[in-house]
Amino acid sequence: MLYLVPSSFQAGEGTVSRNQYVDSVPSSMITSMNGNTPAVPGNNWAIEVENMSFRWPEGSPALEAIRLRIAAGESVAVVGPNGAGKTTLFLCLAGVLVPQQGQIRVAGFDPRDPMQRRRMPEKLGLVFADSDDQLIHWTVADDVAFGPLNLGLPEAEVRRRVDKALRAVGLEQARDRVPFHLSSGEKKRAALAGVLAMEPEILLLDEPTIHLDPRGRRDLIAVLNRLQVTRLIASHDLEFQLQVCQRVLLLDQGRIVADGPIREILSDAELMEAHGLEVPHSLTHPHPHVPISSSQPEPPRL
Amino acid sequence: MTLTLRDWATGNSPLHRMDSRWKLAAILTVAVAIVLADNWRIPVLACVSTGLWLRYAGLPWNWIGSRLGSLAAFLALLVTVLPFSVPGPGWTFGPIHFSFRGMELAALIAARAVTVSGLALLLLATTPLDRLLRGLVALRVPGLAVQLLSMSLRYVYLLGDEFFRVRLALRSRGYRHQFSAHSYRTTANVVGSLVVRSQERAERVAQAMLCRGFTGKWRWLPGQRARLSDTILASMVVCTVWLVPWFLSALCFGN
Repeated sequence: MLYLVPSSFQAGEGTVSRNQYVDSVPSSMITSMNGNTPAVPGNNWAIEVENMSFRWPEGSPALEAIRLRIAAGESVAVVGPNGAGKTTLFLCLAGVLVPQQGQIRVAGFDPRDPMQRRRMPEKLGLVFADSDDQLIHWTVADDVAFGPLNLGLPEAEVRRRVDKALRAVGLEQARDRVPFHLSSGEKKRAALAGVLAMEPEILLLDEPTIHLDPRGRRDLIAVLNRLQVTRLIASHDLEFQLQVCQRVLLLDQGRIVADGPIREILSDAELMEAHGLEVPHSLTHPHPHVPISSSQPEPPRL
Repeated sequence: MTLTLRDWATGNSPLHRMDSRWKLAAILTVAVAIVLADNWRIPVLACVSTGLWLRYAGLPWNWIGSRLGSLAAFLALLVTVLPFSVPGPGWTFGPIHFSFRGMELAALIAARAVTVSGLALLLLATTPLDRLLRGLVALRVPGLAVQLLSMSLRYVYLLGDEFFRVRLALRSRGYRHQFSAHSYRTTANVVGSLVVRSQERAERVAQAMLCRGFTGKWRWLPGQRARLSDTILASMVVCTVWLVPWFLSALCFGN
């Protein structure tokens, strides 16, 4: 169920769009509305952000008055046009960028506090859009071990985590290969393994399907659906988002303009159009399709 | 772009299997000794031994030749000029004087250069880079230096790939390099864009490292364990490339 935002509850200033969905109910009820995640009483939020704003050094705003709460175990899609602030939001949550304003709690840590920020990699993993930014070592196994070694874990535990992470992404056979000789899909999985080896409670994935062929994409969906962690996934691939997320945050110009169950928000053609997106094909008409060999042409449906 | 050295580094000779710490220690010791040798016979004999080790590692001659080719071009100039420019006893043909001392000097310099380059090839072509870097760390090379080496090598290929993509894009739009202001401007723009891209990538790489808990100290999983055979092989490298040439030189020529 979706709720129109009362103007007094708006995140930031600006005109209230007719389609602007944000929960206007008590925070403890938010997740109960968002698909499969049960209501979580009290302070059991994996991510809590209140009125967060970030401006680039030259002064242009990137995020404005962001407010969101994500329960442990939730899988949340972050969608929006280019330049909406999806990556910036992730970098702020990971403590890489420090917002000028607002309150943030990520897995109980405040990323704005340098001491707490240093401990955040134990709890939060960020997979970057370009895997080459993340794969810095000369073998896949060394790269996957990079994070656990930084956590100061003993050798046996690091090796156990490396094996487990490589198994989780199906790259056991590639452990001694040079990361940049891998295919794009394998690179993406190696980068994901590097983060999974740190056994984070929260996983942020920035454009995980970029450069992936259909098989790589399918493998990634299978890997993600097996993971039992809180996930935020930023992607333009809305069909992919539909398969791995129950809730969606729609960002545009640094603001959250909609937050709710993914199927309902992504099927709102007017909302999607207004923010530079399109309704995913699978939500435009009932499936499965009529076979192409059928003598009866499929009637157009919307 | 591929790592051509890496292609050979995955071979299966005893040198490929050798512990990188022992290999590094042996090759560096021998290389320093060869550079310090002042008798031309020692590096010449060492050069022959190095060639045999390269062959023993299963590296093809034509590959070794192509790798040492550019060095040979420079050395050829040196070998041609030195005998005629250094004074000392020798043969005189009219205005031209051929000096034995110059010839020895040329042989010393050329043999030193070829031997040390051959040893470097032997090291790089038989050791995967991850093991080489681990070896450097184990031999107490400063972590920052190893980190810089690793990251530079890692990303120089990526930058090279980006350069080739930009070049292809230019060619696809009809660009051909000529000696003109337009060409120089285009080249400057390409170089500028590559510098900006590398800086942006460096920032993203740093962010990704911070997100994985990097605090400035480069950590590695322990690699190979040294065996007795590694020690024996390292000793054999030192003996054949340095001690035997030195002994033969002393025995046969008295110096």
